Amino acid sequence: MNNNFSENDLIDGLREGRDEIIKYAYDTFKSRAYKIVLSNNGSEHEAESIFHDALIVLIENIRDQKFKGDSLVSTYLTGIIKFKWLNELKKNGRHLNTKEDFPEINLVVNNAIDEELSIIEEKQWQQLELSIEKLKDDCRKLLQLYYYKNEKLKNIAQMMDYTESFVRVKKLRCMSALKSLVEKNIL
Amino acid sequence: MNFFDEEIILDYLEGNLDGDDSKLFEAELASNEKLSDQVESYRNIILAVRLGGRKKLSQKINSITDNNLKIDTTNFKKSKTIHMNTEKKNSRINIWTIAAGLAFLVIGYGVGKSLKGSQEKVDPKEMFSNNYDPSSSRTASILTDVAKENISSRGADTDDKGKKVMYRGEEITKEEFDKREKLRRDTLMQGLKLFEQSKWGDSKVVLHSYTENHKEPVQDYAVALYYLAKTSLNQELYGVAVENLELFLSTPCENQLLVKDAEWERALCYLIVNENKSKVLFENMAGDNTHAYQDEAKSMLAYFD
Repeated sequence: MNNNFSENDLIDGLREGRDEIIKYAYDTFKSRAYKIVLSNNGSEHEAESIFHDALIVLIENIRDQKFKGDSLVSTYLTGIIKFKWLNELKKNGRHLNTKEDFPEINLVVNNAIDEELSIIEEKQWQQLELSIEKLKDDCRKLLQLYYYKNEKLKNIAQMMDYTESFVRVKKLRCMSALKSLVEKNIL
Repeated sequence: MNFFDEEIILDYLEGNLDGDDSKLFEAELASNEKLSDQVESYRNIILAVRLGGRKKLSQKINSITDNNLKIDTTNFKKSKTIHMNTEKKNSRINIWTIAAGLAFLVIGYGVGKSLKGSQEKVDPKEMFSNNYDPSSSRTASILTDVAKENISSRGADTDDKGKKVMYRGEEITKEEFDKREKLRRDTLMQGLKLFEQSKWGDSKVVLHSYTENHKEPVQDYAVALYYLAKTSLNQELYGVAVENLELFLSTPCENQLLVKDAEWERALCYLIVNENKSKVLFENMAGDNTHAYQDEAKSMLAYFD
Protein backbone atom coordinates (compact mmCIF):
# COMPACT_ATOMS: atom_id res chain seq x y z
CA MET A 1 0.00 0.00 0.00
CA ASN A 2 1.18 3.50 -0.76
CA ASN A 3 1.77 5.18 2.58
CA ASN A 4 2.65 8.52 1.04
CA PHE A 5 -0.62 9.85 -0.19
CA SER A 6 -0.57 13.63 -0.35
CA GLU A 7 -3.24 15.74 1.26
CA ASN A 8 -4.78 16.33 -2.17
CA ASP A 9 -4.74 12.60 -2.97
CA LEU A 10 -6.52 12.00 0.29
CA ILE A 11 -9.20 14.63 -0.32
CA ASP A 12 -9.78 13.64 -3.95
CA GLY A 13 -9.79 9.93 -3.11
CA LEU A 14 -12.27 10.28 -0.28
CA ARG A 15 -14.50 12.50 -2.41
CA GLU A 16 -14.50 9.89 -5.18
CA GLY A 17 -14.92 7.02 -2.70
CA ARG A 18 -11.77 5.20 -3.87
CA ASP A 19 -11.32 1.98 -1.91
CA GLU A 20 -7.55 2.27 -1.37
CA ILE A 21 -7.84 5.82 -0.04
CA ILE A 22 -10.70 4.94 2.32
CA LYS A 23 -8.67 2.00 3.60
CA TYR A 24 -5.59 4.19 3.98
CA ALA A 25 -7.56 6.80 5.95
CA TYR A 26 -9.10 4.09 8.05
CA ASP A 27 -5.82 2.42 8.92
CA THR A 28 -3.91 5.68 9.42
CA PHE A 29 -6.34 7.63 11.54
CA LYS A 30 -8.19 4.96 13.51
CA SER A 31 -5.71 5.17 16.39
CA ARG A 32 -6.81 8.76 17.04
CA ALA A 33 -10.33 7.59 17.87
CA TYR A 34 -9.00 4.84 20.11
CA LYS A 35 -6.79 7.31 21.98
CA ILE A 36 -9.61 9.79 22.53
CA VAL A 37 -12.35 7.28 23.36
CA LEU A 38 -10.35 4.85 25.50
CA SER A 39 -8.84 7.62 27.59
CA ASN A 40 -12.30 9.08 28.18
CA ASN A 41 -14.41 6.28 29.59
CA GLY A 42 -15.07 4.50 26.30
CA SER A 43 -14.68 0.94 25.12
CA GLU A 44 -12.89 -0.47 22.10
CA HIS A 45 -16.19 -1.10 20.37
CA GLU A 46 -17.30 2.47 21.00
CA ALA A 47 -14.00 3.75 19.59
CA GLU A 48 -14.54 1.69 16.46
CA SER A 49 -18.12 2.85 16.14
CA ILE A 50 -17.28 6.53 16.67
CA PHE A 51 -14.45 6.35 14.16
CA HIS A 52 -16.65 4.61 11.61
CA ASP A 53 -19.31 7.34 11.92
CA ALA A 54 -16.68 10.10 11.90
CA LEU A 55 -15.15 8.76 8.69
CA ILE A 56 -18.58 8.80 7.03
CA VAL A 57 -19.13 12.41 8.09
CA LEU A 58 -15.66 13.32 6.80
CA ILE A 59 -16.37 11.76 3.40
CA GLU A 60 -19.78 13.45 3.21
CA ASN A 61 -18.38 16.82 4.24
CA ILE A 62 -15.58 16.63 1.68
CA ARG A 63 -18.08 15.66 -1.00
CA ASP A 64 -20.52 18.41 0.01
CA GLN A 65 -17.68 20.96 0.21
CA LYS A 66 -18.28 21.66 3.88
CA PHE A 67 -14.66 20.77 4.40
CA LYS A 68 -12.80 23.50 2.56
CA GLY A 69 -9.24 22.39 3.14
CA ASP A 70 -8.57 25.08 5.78
CA SER A 71 -6.99 22.44 8.00
CA LEU A 72 -5.38 19.04 7.49
CA VAL A 73 -7.80 16.17 6.89
CA SER A 74 -6.42 14.46 9.99
CA THR A 75 -7.07 17.54 12.17
CA TYR A 76 -10.58 17.89 10.83
CA LEU A 77 -11.31 14.21 11.35
CA THR A 78 -9.98 14.41 14.91
CA GLY A 79 -12.40 17.30 15.52
CA ILE A 80 -15.30 15.18 14.28
CA ILE A 81 -14.26 12.28 16.51
CA LYS A 82 -14.06 14.54 19.56
CA PHE A 83 -17.38 16.17 18.73
CA LYS A 84 -19.11 12.84 18.33
CA TRP A 85 -17.58 11.31 21.41
CA LEU A 86 -18.42 14.30 23.56
CA ASN A 87 -22.03 14.07 22.34
CA GLU A 88 -22.10 10.38 23.13
CA LEU A 89 -20.76 10.93 26.63
CA LYS A 90 -23.26 13.67 27.39
CA LYS A 91 -26.12 11.62 25.98
CA ASN A 92 -25.31 8.79 28.34
CA GLY A 93 -24.56 10.96 31.36
CA ARG A 94 -20.85 10.16 31.32
CA HIS A 95 -18.00 12.64 31.62
CA LEU A 96 -14.64 13.50 30.14
CA ASN A 97 -11.48 12.53 31.96
CA THR A 98 -9.32 15.08 30.22
CA LYS A 99 -11.08 18.30 29.33
CA GLU A 100 -7.79 19.75 28.06
CA ASP A 101 -8.01 17.39 25.14
CA PHE A 102 -11.25 18.86 23.88
CA PRO A 103 -10.98 22.64 23.52
CA GLU A 104 -10.37 22.73 19.79
CA ILE A 105 -13.63 21.10 18.81
CA ASN A 106 -14.90 22.58 15.59
CA LEU A 107 -18.67 22.80 15.56
CA VAL A 108 -18.73 23.14 11.79
CA VAL A 109 -18.69 19.35 11.68
CA ASN A 110 -22.38 19.29 12.54
CA ASN A 111 -24.00 17.00 10.07
CA ALA A 112 -27.29 17.93 8.47
CA ILE A 113 -28.50 14.34 8.22
CA ASP A 114 -27.91 13.80 11.92
CA GLU A 115 -29.86 16.94 12.70
CA GLU A 116 -32.81 15.80 10.62
CA LEU A 117 -32.82 12.27 11.98
CA SER A 118 -34.46 13.40 15.18
CA ILE A 119 -37.66 14.44 13.45
CA ILE A 120 -38.57 11.00 12.10
CA GLU A 121 -40.26 8.53 14.41
CA GLU A 122 -38.94 4.97 14.59
CA LYS A 123 -42.02 3.36 13.03
CA GLN A 124 -42.09 5.90 10.23
CA TRP A 125 -38.39 5.31 9.58
CA GLN A 126 -38.94 1.55 9.26
CA GLN A 127 -41.70 2.15 6.70
CA LEU A 128 -39.46 4.47 4.72
CA GLU A 129 -36.55 2.06 4.81
CA LEU A 130 -38.72 -0.85 3.72
CA SER A 131 -40.10 1.20 0.84
CA ILE A 132 -36.63 2.15 -0.37
CA GLU A 133 -35.60 -1.51 -0.32
CA LYS A 134 -38.60 -2.36 -2.49
CA LEU A 135 -37.79 0.35 -5.01
CA LYS A 136 -36.30 -0.78 -8.31
CA ASP A 137 -32.49 -0.71 -8.37
CA ASP A 138 -32.18 1.94 -11.07
CA CYS A 139 -34.59 4.22 -9.22
CA ARG A 140 -32.80 3.77 -5.92
CA LYS A 141 -29.47 4.47 -7.58
CA LEU A 142 -30.74 7.59 -9.34
CA LEU A 143 -32.37 9.02 -6.20
CA GLN A 144 -29.31 8.34 -4.07
CA LEU A 145 -27.01 9.96 -6.64
CA TYR A 146 -29.23 13.02 -6.69
CA TYR A 147 -30.22 13.40 -3.05
CA TYR A 148 -27.30 11.80 -1.18
CA LYS A 149 -24.34 12.49 -3.43
CA ASN A 150 -25.78 15.78 -4.67
CA GLU A 151 -24.85 14.91 -8.26
CA LYS A 152 -26.22 17.16 -10.98
CA LEU A 153 -28.77 15.70 -13.41
CA LYS A 154 -26.24 16.10 -16.21
CA ASN A 155 -23.68 13.94 -14.39
CA ILE A 156 -26.29 11.34 -13.47
CA ALA A 157 -27.25 11.16 -17.14
CA GLN A 158 -23.64 10.35 -18.03
CA MET A 159 -23.26 7.81 -15.24
CA MET A 160 -26.48 5.98 -16.08
CA ASP A 161 -26.28 6.39 -19.82
CA TYR A 162 -29.51 8.38 -20.07
CA THR A 163 -30.24 11.77 -21.55
CA GLU A 164 -30.51 14.65 -19.08
CA SER A 165 -34.17 15.24 -19.88
CA PHE A 166 -34.91 11.56 -19.32
CA VAL A 167 -33.18 11.71 -15.92
CA ARG A 168 -35.39 14.66 -15.00
CA VAL A 169 -38.54 12.71 -15.87
CA LYS A 170 -37.29 9.46 -14.34
CA LYS A 171 -36.42 11.19 -11.09
CA LEU A 172 -40.03 12.36 -10.79
CA ARG A 173 -41.35 8.90 -11.64
CA CYS A 174 -39.05 7.30 -9.08
CA MET A 175 -40.12 9.72 -6.37
CA SER A 176 -43.73 9.05 -7.25
CA ALA A 177 -43.16 5.30 -7.09
CA LEU A 178 -41.36 5.63 -3.76
CA LYS A 179 -44.15 7.74 -2.31
CA SER A 180 -46.72 5.13 -3.40
CA LEU A 181 -44.65 2.42 -1.73
CA VAL A 182 -44.43 4.44 1.46
CA GLU A 183 -48.18 4.98 1.48
CA LYS A 184 -48.80 1.26 0.89
CA ASN A 185 -46.50 0.37 3.76
CA ILE A 186 -48.28 2.82 6.04
CA LEU A 187 -51.66 1.27 5.15
CA MET B 1 -49.80 27.22 -9.77
CA ASN B 2 -50.93 23.76 -8.71
CA PHE B 3 -49.40 23.61 -5.24
CA PHE B 4 -49.96 19.84 -5.00
CA ASP B 5 -48.06 19.11 -8.21
CA GLU B 6 -45.23 16.74 -7.22
CA GLU B 7 -42.71 18.62 -9.35
CA ILE B 8 -43.61 21.92 -7.70
CA ILE B 9 -43.27 20.42 -4.21
CA LEU B 10 -39.90 18.88 -5.05
CA ASP B 11 -38.70 22.11 -6.66
CA TYR B 12 -39.65 23.91 -3.46
CA LEU B 13 -37.83 21.40 -1.24
CA GLU B 14 -34.76 21.53 -3.47
CA GLY B 15 -34.77 25.34 -3.50
CA ASN B 16 -35.47 25.47 -7.22
CA LEU B 17 -38.60 27.64 -7.21
CA ASP B 18 -37.95 31.20 -8.34
CA GLY B 19 -38.55 34.11 -5.97
CA ASP B 20 -42.19 34.92 -6.78
CA ASP B 21 -43.29 31.29 -7.01
CA SER B 22 -41.47 30.53 -3.82
CA LYS B 23 -43.31 33.34 -2.00
CA LEU B 24 -46.64 32.12 -3.38
CA PHE B 25 -45.84 28.59 -2.29
CA GLU B 26 -44.75 29.70 1.18
CA ALA B 27 -47.93 31.68 1.66
CA GLU B 28 -50.07 28.70 0.70
CA LEU B 29 -47.98 26.37 2.83
CA ALA B 30 -48.47 28.52 5.90
CA SER B 31 -52.26 28.21 5.70
CA ASN B 32 -52.87 24.86 4.02
CA GLU B 33 -52.50 21.88 6.33
CA LYS B 34 -52.87 19.29 3.56
CA LEU B 35 -50.09 20.89 1.56
CA SER B 36 -47.97 21.08 4.69
CA ASP B 37 -48.46 17.32 5.22
CA GLN B 38 -47.52 16.60 1.60
CA VAL B 39 -44.36 18.68 1.85
CA GLU B 40 -43.43 16.98 5.13
CA SER B 41 -44.01 13.59 3.58
CA TYR B 42 -41.68 14.35 0.65
CA ARG B 43 -39.12 15.86 3.01
CA ASN B 44 -39.01 12.62 5.00
CA ILE B 45 -38.75 10.52 1.85
CA ILE B 46 -35.77 12.57 0.69
CA LEU B 47 -34.16 12.18 4.10
CA ALA B 48 -34.72 8.43 3.97
CA VAL B 49 -33.07 8.28 0.54
CA ARG B 50 -30.08 10.17 1.95
CA LEU B 51 -29.87 7.84 4.91
CA GLY B 52 -30.02 4.90 2.52
CA GLY B 53 -27.01 6.38 0.71
CA ARG B 54 -25.17 6.74 3.99
CA LYS B 55 -25.93 3.15 4.89
CA LYS B 56 -24.44 2.04 1.59
CA LEU B 57 -21.27 4.02 2.30
CA SER B 58 -21.09 2.47 5.76
CA GLN B 59 -21.33 -1.01 4.27
CA LYS B 60 -18.60 -0.12 1.80
CA ILE B 61 -16.27 0.99 4.60
CA ASN B 62 -16.91 -2.27 6.43
CA SER B 63 -16.23 -4.28 3.31
CA ILE B 64 -12.88 -2.67 2.45
CA THR B 65 -11.48 -2.52 5.97
CA ASP B 66 -10.55 -5.53 7.99
CA ASN B 67 -11.63 -4.30 11.40
CA ASN B 68 -12.66 -7.10 13.71
CA LEU B 69 -15.46 -5.10 15.25
CA LYS B 70 -17.77 -4.74 12.30
CA ILE B 71 -20.17 -1.88 12.77
CA ASP B 72 -23.83 -2.69 12.48
CA THR B 73 -24.92 -0.73 9.46
CA THR B 74 -28.54 -1.79 9.65
CA ASN B 75 -29.29 0.17 12.77
CA PHE B 76 -28.37 3.75 12.00
CA LYS B 77 -31.73 5.08 12.82
CA LYS B 78 -32.83 2.63 15.44
CA SER B 79 -30.19 3.32 18.03
CA LYS B 80 -30.76 7.03 17.75
CA THR B 81 -34.53 6.86 17.77
CA ILE B 82 -34.88 4.63 20.78
CA HIS B 83 -33.33 7.50 22.65
CA MET B 84 -35.66 9.98 21.02
CA ASN B 85 -38.77 7.94 21.76
CA THR B 86 -38.12 7.65 25.44
CA GLU B 87 -36.81 11.11 26.00
CA LYS B 88 -38.04 13.13 23.12
CA LYS B 89 -38.61 16.32 25.02
CA ASN B 90 -35.49 16.03 27.10
CA SER B 91 -33.29 14.99 24.23
CA ARG B 92 -33.77 18.34 22.54
CA ILE B 93 -32.75 20.05 25.73
CA ASN B 94 -29.77 17.71 25.94
CA ILE B 95 -28.68 18.59 22.43
CA TRP B 96 -28.68 22.26 23.29
CA THR B 97 -27.08 21.64 26.66
CA ILE B 98 -24.27 19.91 24.81
CA ALA B 99 -24.11 22.78 22.35
CA ALA B 100 -23.94 25.19 25.29
CA GLY B 101 -21.01 23.26 26.73
CA LEU B 102 -19.27 23.16 23.40
CA ALA B 103 -19.86 26.85 22.75
CA PHE B 104 -18.33 27.58 26.12
CA LEU B 105 -15.34 25.43 25.28
CA VAL B 106 -14.96 27.11 21.91
CA ILE B 107 -15.10 30.59 23.37
CA GLY B 108 -12.80 29.48 26.17
CA TYR B 109 -10.38 28.20 23.58
CA GLY B 110 -10.39 31.55 21.78
CA VAL B 111 -9.86 33.43 25.03
CA GLY B 112 -7.08 31.15 26.19
CA LYS B 113 -5.38 31.22 22.86
CA SER B 114 -5.39 35.00 22.66
CA LEU B 115 -3.99 35.38 26.15
CA LYS B 116 -1.18 32.99 25.38
CA GLY B 117 -0.10 34.27 22.02
CA SER B 118 -1.25 37.78 21.37
CA GLN B 119 1.86 38.57 19.38
CA GLU B 120 0.85 36.17 16.63
CA LYS B 121 -1.11 37.50 13.66
CA VAL B 122 -3.97 35.13 13.15
CA ASP B 123 -6.07 34.64 10.05
CA PRO B 124 -9.48 36.31 10.60
CA LYS B 125 -11.23 33.18 9.35
CA GLU B 126 -9.53 31.15 12.05
CA MET B 127 -10.50 33.71 14.67
CA PHE B 128 -14.03 33.63 13.38
CA SER B 129 -14.38 29.86 13.40
CA ASN B 130 -12.96 29.69 16.91
CA ASN B 131 -15.52 32.11 18.21
CA TYR B 132 -18.69 31.50 16.28
CA ASP B 133 -21.07 28.65 16.90
CA PRO B 134 -23.76 28.16 14.23
CA SER B 135 -25.86 26.09 16.59
CA SER B 136 -25.38 28.52 19.45
CA SER B 137 -26.97 27.55 22.73
CA ARG B 138 -28.05 31.11 23.29
CA THR B 139 -29.99 31.09 20.05
CA ALA B 140 -31.63 27.81 20.89
CA SER B 141 -32.54 28.71 24.40
CA ILE B 142 -34.26 31.91 23.43
CA LEU B 143 -35.91 30.65 20.28
CA THR B 144 -38.88 29.13 22.05
CA ASP B 145 -39.40 32.23 24.15
CA VAL B 146 -39.09 34.45 21.14
CA ALA B 147 -41.73 32.44 19.35
CA LYS B 148 -43.98 32.34 22.38
CA GLU B 149 -43.64 35.85 23.68
CA ASN B 150 -42.51 38.12 20.90
CA ILE B 151 -44.91 37.20 18.18
CA SER B 152 -47.59 39.69 18.88
CA SER B 153 -50.87 40.62 17.34
CA ARG B 154 -50.83 43.78 15.31
CA GLY B 155 -54.15 45.01 16.64
CA ALA B 156 -56.41 47.14 14.50
CA ASP B 157 -58.49 50.30 14.45
CA THR B 158 -62.08 49.18 14.25
CA ASP B 159 -64.93 51.33 13.05
CA ASP B 160 -67.91 52.16 15.24
CA LYS B 161 -69.61 48.84 14.66
CA GLY B 162 -66.41 46.88 15.03
CA LYS B 163 -66.88 45.11 11.70
CA LYS B 164 -64.34 46.95 9.57
CA VAL B 165 -60.66 47.54 10.28
CA MET B 166 -57.89 49.56 8.68
CA TYR B 167 -55.03 47.35 7.55
CA ARG B 168 -52.07 48.82 5.67
CA GLY B 169 -54.24 51.74 4.57
CA GLU B 170 -56.99 49.46 3.36
CA GLU B 171 -60.43 49.02 4.92
CA ILE B 172 -61.14 45.34 5.34
CA THR B 173 -63.51 43.15 7.35
CA LYS B 174 -62.53 41.90 10.79
CA GLU B 175 -62.59 38.32 9.46
CA GLU B 176 -60.23 39.22 6.64
CA PHE B 177 -57.97 41.00 9.11
CA ASP B 178 -57.85 37.94 11.39
CA LYS B 179 -57.06 35.73 8.41
CA ARG B 180 -54.19 37.94 7.26
CA GLU B 181 -52.82 38.23 10.77
CA LYS B 182 -52.85 34.45 11.19
CA LEU B 183 -51.01 34.06 7.90
CA ARG B 184 -48.41 36.61 9.01
CA ARG B 185 -47.80 34.96 12.37
CA ASP B 186 -47.75 31.47 10.84
CA THR B 187 -45.16 32.60 8.30
CA LEU B 188 -42.87 33.97 11.01
CA MET B 189 -43.28 30.85 13.14
CA GLN B 190 -42.51 28.67 10.15
CA GLY B 191 -39.32 30.62 9.44
CA LEU B 192 -38.23 30.23 13.07
CA LYS B 193 -39.05 26.54 13.16
CA LEU B 194 -37.04 25.92 9.99
CA PHE B 195 -34.16 27.79 11.59
CA GLU B 196 -34.45 25.66 14.70
CA GLN B 197 -34.20 22.59 12.47
CA SER B 198 -30.98 24.00 10.95
CA LYS B 199 -32.65 24.31 7.53
CA TRP B 200 -30.90 27.57 6.76
CA GLY B 201 -31.92 27.82 3.09
CA ASP B 202 -35.60 27.16 3.71
CA SER B 203 -35.65 29.40 6.75
CA LYS B 204 -34.03 32.19 4.77
CA VAL B 205 -36.65 32.06 2.00
CA VAL B 206 -39.50 32.32 4.50
CA LEU B 207 -37.91 35.00 6.67
CA HIS B 208 -36.87 37.08 3.66
CA SER B 209 -40.42 36.97 2.39
CA TYR B 210 -41.64 37.95 5.86
CA THR B 211 -39.33 40.95 6.22
CA GLU B 212 -40.25 42.16 2.73
CA ASN B 213 -43.96 42.05 3.49
CA HIS B 214 -44.29 42.80 7.20
CA LYS B 215 -42.44 45.74 8.67
CA GLU B 216 -44.93 45.83 11.54
CA PRO B 217 -45.30 44.96 14.35
CA VAL B 218 -41.74 46.16 14.66
CA GLN B 219 -40.79 43.60 17.36
CA ASP B 220 -41.72 40.72 15.07
CA TYR B 221 -39.95 42.41 12.17
CA ALA B 222 -36.82 42.69 14.32
CA VAL B 223 -36.96 39.01 15.28
CA ALA B 224 -37.33 38.01 11.63
CA LEU B 225 -34.43 40.27 10.64
CA TYR B 226 -32.15 38.78 13.28
CA TYR B 227 -32.78 35.20 12.27
CA LEU B 228 -32.58 36.13 8.60
CA ALA B 229 -29.08 37.45 9.33
CA LYS B 230 -28.23 34.23 11.19
CA THR B 231 -29.24 32.08 8.22
CA SER B 232 -26.77 33.99 6.02
CA LEU B 233 -24.13 33.71 8.69
CA ASN B 234 -24.62 29.97 8.99
CA GLN B 235 -24.33 29.69 5.22
CA GLU B 236 -21.03 31.61 5.44
CA LEU B 237 -22.44 34.56 3.48
CA TYR B 238 -20.75 37.13 5.70
CA GLY B 239 -21.40 40.23 3.57
CA VAL B 240 -25.13 39.55 3.46
CA ALA B 241 -25.14 38.66 7.16
CA VAL B 242 -23.47 41.98 8.02
CA GLU B 243 -26.09 43.91 6.03
CA ASN B 244 -28.93 42.15 7.83
CA LEU B 245 -27.30 42.48 11.25
CA GLU B 246 -26.81 46.23 10.65
CA LEU B 247 -30.45 46.51 9.64
CA PHE B 248 -31.51 44.56 12.73
CA LEU B 249 -29.38 46.72 15.03
CA SER B 250 -30.91 49.88 13.59
CA THR B 251 -34.40 48.52 14.30
CA PRO B 252 -35.88 48.96 17.79
CA CYS B 253 -35.80 45.62 19.60
CA GLU B 254 -36.89 45.01 23.17
CA ASN B 255 -35.06 41.70 23.47
CA GLN B 256 -31.61 42.74 24.68
CA LEU B 257 -30.27 39.18 24.43
CA LEU B 258 -30.82 39.29 20.70
CA VAL B 259 -29.23 42.74 20.48
CA LYS B 260 -26.08 41.66 22.34
CA ASP B 261 -25.79 38.47 20.33
CA ALA B 262 -26.20 40.48 17.15
CA GLU B 263 -23.47 42.94 18.18
CA TRP B 264 -21.06 40.07 18.90
CA GLU B 265 -21.91 38.30 15.66
CA ARG B 266 -21.63 41.51 13.66
CA ALA B 267 -18.12 42.09 15.03
CA LEU B 268 -17.16 38.50 14.16
CA CYS B 269 -18.58 38.88 10.62
CA TYR B 270 -16.52 42.02 10.10
CA LEU B 271 -13.42 39.95 10.84
CA ILE B 272 -13.99 38.45 7.42
CA VAL B 273 -15.44 41.50 5.67
CA ASN B 274 -13.54 44.46 7.15
CA GLU B 275 -10.95 43.86 9.86
CA ASN B 276 -10.58 47.54 10.88
CA LYS B 277 -14.29 47.90 11.41
CA SER B 278 -14.24 44.67 13.40
CA LYS B 279 -11.59 46.06 15.74
CA VAL B 280 -13.64 49.19 16.42
CA LEU B 281 -16.70 47.10 17.25
CA PHE B 282 -14.74 44.84 19.62
CA GLU B 283 -13.29 47.96 21.28
CA ASN B 284 -16.80 49.29 21.84
CA MET B 285 -17.93 46.02 23.42
CA ALA B 286 -14.77 45.72 25.51
CA GLY B 287 -15.34 49.22 26.87
CA ASP B 288 -18.94 48.55 27.82
CA ASN B 289 -19.09 47.18 31.37
CA THR B 290 -22.67 46.04 30.89
CA HIS B 291 -22.05 44.12 27.67
CA ALA B 292 -22.59 40.36 27.86
CA TYR B 293 -19.61 39.79 25.57
CA GLN B 294 -17.21 42.24 27.23
CA ASP B 295 -14.66 39.59 28.28
CA GLU B 296 -14.74 37.84 24.92
CA ALA B 297 -14.33 41.17 23.13
CA LYS B 298 -11.34 42.09 25.31
CA SER B 299 -9.62 38.83 24.50
CA MET B 300 -10.36 39.21 20.80
CA LEU B 301 -8.65 42.62 20.81
CA ALA B 302 -5.37 40.95 21.71
CA TYR B 303 -5.27 39.59 18.16
CA PHE B 304 -5.21 43.08 16.68
CA ASP B 305 -2.19 44.34 18.64
